Amino acid sequence: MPPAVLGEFELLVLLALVRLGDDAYGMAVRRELVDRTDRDVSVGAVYATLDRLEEKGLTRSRVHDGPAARGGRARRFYDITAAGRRAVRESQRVLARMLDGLDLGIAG
Amino acid sequence: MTSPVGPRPAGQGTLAVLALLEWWLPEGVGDAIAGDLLEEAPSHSRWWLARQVADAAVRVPLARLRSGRHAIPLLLGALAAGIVLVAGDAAWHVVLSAVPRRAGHEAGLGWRCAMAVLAGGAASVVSWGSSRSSRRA
Repeated sequence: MPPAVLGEFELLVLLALVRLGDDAYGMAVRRELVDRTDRDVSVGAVYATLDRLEEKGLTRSRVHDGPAARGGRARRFYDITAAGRRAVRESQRVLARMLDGLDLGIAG
Repeated sequence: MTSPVGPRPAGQGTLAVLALLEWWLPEGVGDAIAGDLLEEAPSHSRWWLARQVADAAVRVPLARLRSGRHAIPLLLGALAAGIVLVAGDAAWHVVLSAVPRRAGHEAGLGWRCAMAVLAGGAASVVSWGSSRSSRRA
């Protein structure tokens, strides 16, 4: 099966999962994206994307007990799957091929 | 935006809003988002929290709809909204015809549209919410 086609935000979320490793829950993913992209990212956007990626088989989630500050609600942690890693690699490859030899006319 | 006065405990209003959000959103996502927001609430302003809640309440169901999941309850909601709109408009005509006409008594289009949007929105919310409750049961 060919790797899934990723949208830009999906790609960023998958890369955040790889960066965070075992600590990748929704708010941590949001913080990673805000810190590294300087964008104002909502937690709803992150969870909607994680939910869609899980539906596509590119992530999987597991539930763990959270701290008391969560009011008894569990934390849902996300992992990137092998298919997710292939999709990231394919996106990287496509982007590299599209950029290859291009002069964007921007200094720096 | 971080609160300039530092962390503060979540109030009853925040707890109630997050409980409502948890009920509203799909199972598995709703409790995770509500928990995350409750954990973060002390470090942020109420305005930040309100924006996050409003965004999640709209974005997550729409994302599910776009991916083809939960289409049936939302379609039923739209159908119910349509029925409420038609019935409401008919009832409005009955009310208008029952009272003596005076100049300027006819309701304006803006007012009727506002009533129709409110009725349709209420029907969609009830339909989606009851489908959420039945799935949790």
